[in-house]
Amino acid sequence: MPAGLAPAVAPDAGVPAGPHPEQVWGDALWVQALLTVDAHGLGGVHLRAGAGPVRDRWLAGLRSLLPAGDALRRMPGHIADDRLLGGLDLSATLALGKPVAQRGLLAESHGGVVLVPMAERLSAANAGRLAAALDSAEVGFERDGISARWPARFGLLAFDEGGEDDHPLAATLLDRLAFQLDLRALSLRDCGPALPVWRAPSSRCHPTSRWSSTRPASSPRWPRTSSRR
Amino acid sequence: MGLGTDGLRGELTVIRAARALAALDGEPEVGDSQIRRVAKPALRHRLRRDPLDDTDASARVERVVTELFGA
Repeated sequence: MPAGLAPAVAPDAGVPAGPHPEQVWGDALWVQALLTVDAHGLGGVHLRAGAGPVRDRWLAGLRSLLPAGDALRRMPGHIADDRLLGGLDLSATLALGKPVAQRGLLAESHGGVVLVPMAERLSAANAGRLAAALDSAEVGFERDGISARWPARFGLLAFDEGGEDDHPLAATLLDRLAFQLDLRALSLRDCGPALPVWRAPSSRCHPTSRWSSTRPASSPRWPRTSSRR
Repeated sequence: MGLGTDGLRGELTVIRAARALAALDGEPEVGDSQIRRVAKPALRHRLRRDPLDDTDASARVERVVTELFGA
């Protein structure tokens, strides 16, 4: 299952070969399945891959596992603050004659996954906003004479198209994302067409951990997630 | 875990990922096998680069996991 996910490099003289492509793809599917279990608790995934069929297939697989609807939202790197965090709803404000708040993309993604293409180019400011939202599981704003807060428990999917010499993904995000996948060395023929068949967790399944005593055994919800600090 | 990672997010991530994996596997409790399976993908990008140790990050995690849980 999850074996070496180290950057796979082409076999070369004196350079150790990376993990087998089938193994890398198998790990990618495994991470995909975990994301659907607890995206917010895990933070998300840093996916290193160029735009192409391999990444598209992985994303299509993830979409098929997520609930239908707005479970996966795309966040442009140049998104404005009021669209990201929320802001004044101008049309509603003018119509009603009093300030009306409008949710941003992060609040709209509550319970789902936010996809950031070219995440390596994300500004430090937006990376910080995403990190803060991942930590606090809520988002909001205080400006224009109005303030509002909404829950925002989402997982982050950071697509990184950069090479070895390019600017890396912001460390503040990398630290908060559970996994890093590197699909750059894969071609489409390395990717199996079918997703593995996972046994769906039953409603009575409440995994406990000897390493974590924070979850009560009788918790009615699963998976239990807590705010990242 | 003796890997020298900064902060506790690595360990917390291992716990959360192992719990999610246990749920996928239909296991009622997290065990050593889940910890071993999630350790590498969850920790290897958190290691500090050591100029005196050119060992691959996955191999370093594998080495520490083996020391903890046995071969």
